[in-house]
Amino acid sequence: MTYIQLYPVQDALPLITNHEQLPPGAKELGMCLDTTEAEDLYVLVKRGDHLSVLATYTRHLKTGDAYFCDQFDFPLKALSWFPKALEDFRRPPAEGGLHAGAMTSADEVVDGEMLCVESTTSGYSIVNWSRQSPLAFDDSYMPTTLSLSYNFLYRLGFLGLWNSLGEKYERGEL
Amino acid sequence: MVDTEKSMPLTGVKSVPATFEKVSEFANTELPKKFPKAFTDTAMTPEFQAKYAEHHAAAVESKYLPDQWSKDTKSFRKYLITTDLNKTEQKLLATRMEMHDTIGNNQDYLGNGLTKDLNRNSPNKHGAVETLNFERKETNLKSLNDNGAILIIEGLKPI
Repeated sequence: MTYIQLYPVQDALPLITNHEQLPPGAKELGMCLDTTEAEDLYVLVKRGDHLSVLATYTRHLKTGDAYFCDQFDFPLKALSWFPKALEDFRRPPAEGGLHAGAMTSADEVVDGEMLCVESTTSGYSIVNWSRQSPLAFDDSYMPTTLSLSYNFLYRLGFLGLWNSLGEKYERGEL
Repeated sequence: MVDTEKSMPLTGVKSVPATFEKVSEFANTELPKKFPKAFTDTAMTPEFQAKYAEHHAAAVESKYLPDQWSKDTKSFRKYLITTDLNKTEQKLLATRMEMHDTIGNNQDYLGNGLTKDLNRNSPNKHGAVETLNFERKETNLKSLNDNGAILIIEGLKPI
């Protein structure tokens, strides 16, 4: 309704509803705890040629504790693509980077899916225009957007984990 | 003093006046697929802003969001589906929080170019003139100074 769709959306991967109960064939690659706002555990899961990032968290609601598990899907190659794309995106205009105020990189085909990096007020997002968001309310188009803070990426080690998995991916070790 | 003309190529920072019109224009230009004009025409109004502030506060109150500073889109979505809002309203509010996370216009944003005075003891409704600054990478003052983009004024005294 609000988002403009330029690319076809791929069929969704089967939904994982609990990070401790992975389906057959899914392999946990690593995890990292984001304590920036609350305590959200991010689990990276290999599923064939795809990567599911599971954002799992418990909220202590007035009505009682509630566990949530949101699944953000990307091609597995995003493991090696993202650190390089992010480094390029961060380059200032004086070093040949994008213009001042640019909020998004160009969309790029990564193993058949359209990805880009976006800027946020406190970090970066990885956007997959080819996958419906786990945060969508119905079938109307909403691209997958995984928002990651500077604190989580750089201080709490998520980018380091992602980068090391990217290097393993490139060496064919995953 | 920072020379913004010299610093812009180094920092990649762009500053935008915090009015509905200018922020909408920036979002339409830089993120046209996420925040097209059809969305900002609906969301960047005092009425919709009041609705966003109301639901952000309700999400904090019900503990879906940890505090007033939160812009956790995934938890806000969980809150929205518990409300009796229709799907169109839920989607608009979810996109509004994505804009809050991306652009920085939060639930206290007024859209008139001024900050809201949050001091309960203050008789004023408004604070300072506000600009939203967009940067892709934090740059330190040393780098700006090394490139001649800073003028240090000596001899200043507190008023």
